[in-house]
Amino acid sequence: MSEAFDVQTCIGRVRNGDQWASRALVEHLHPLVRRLVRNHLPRRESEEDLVQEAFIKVFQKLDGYQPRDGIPFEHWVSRLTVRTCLDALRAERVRPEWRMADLGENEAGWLDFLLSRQAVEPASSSADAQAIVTRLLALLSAPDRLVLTLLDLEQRSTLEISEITGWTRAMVKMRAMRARFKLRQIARRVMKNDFPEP
Amino acid sequence: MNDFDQRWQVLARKAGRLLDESLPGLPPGLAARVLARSREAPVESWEDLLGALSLRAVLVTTCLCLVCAGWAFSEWYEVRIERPALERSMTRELPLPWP
Repeated sequence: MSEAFDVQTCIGRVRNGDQWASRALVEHLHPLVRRLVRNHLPRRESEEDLVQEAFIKVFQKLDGYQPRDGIPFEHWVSRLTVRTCLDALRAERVRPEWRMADLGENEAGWLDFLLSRQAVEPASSSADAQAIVTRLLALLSAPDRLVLTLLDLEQRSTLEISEITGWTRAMVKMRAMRARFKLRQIARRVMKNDFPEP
Repeated sequence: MNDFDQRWQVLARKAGRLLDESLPGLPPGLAARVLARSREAPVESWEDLLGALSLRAVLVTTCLCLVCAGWAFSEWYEVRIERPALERSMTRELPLPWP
C-alpha cells in the first residue's frame, strides 16, 4: 500500500467513472477489508465472497460518503465491512454443537484453564488458543461475537468499536460484559456435560 | 474483573496473535467483479431495508397497526350501534311540528 495514495482524489475519480481509480481503490482497501472479514467470518461463508460483498457495498454507497474532518475514509469502509459481516453472522441461524470429546488435548487444556481447573497457562500454540476461541465465539449471538472479537482479540478501544459499529461506548462495554458472562456459562455447560457433578 | 475474565483475556491475547498473519494478496479479477456487480445490483433492495429494520421492529410495528385498527373498528362499530337508539329517543322526546 503506497503512502502517497491520495484517497480523496481517487474517490473523486471513481465517482467520475474512472475504472483505473476504482481498481486502485480496491487494491488500497483490500488488506483492511480482508482482515476485518477474516476476523468476523461466519463458519459457512467463504472469505472471498464476503470480501467481494463488502466491496460491492462500498462502491454502491460511495456517492453517499461525505468526508468529515479527522475521520479517515477507512473508518467509513470499516463500518460498512463490519456491518456486512454482522448481517452474515446474523443470517447464520444454526449454531454449531460440540462437546469436550470433540476437542484436541491442547484445546481442552485451554478450556480447563478458562474455568480454573488448571491454574497454569497452557504452553500450547496460538493456533490451539485460536481454535478454542473460535469454537466458543461461534456459540454466541452475532453482536456478542462481534464485540468480543473487536475488543478482546483485535484489542481495539471502546471508542474505535463505537465508531465502527455505531453503538455508544456504554453500550459496547455493557455488551462485552454480558458476552463474557454468556461465554462463561457456555464453557461451564460444555464442561458440565462431560463431567457431570455427582 | 473476575477470574474468568482475566483468564479469557490471556486466552484471547494468545489467539489474537494469529489474526494479522498471512493475509493473501488481491485475488485476480476482484476489482472487475466488484465494479460489474456494484453497477448491476440495486443499491438497497426492500430485503435490505427489512434486514436493517430487523424482524423485531417489523413485528412491533405490525402489532401496533393491528391494535390501532382494532381500536378504530370498535369505535366505528359502537357509533353504528348507538346511532339508531339515539335517533329513536330524539324522535320520541321532541315534539313533532306537524299533527
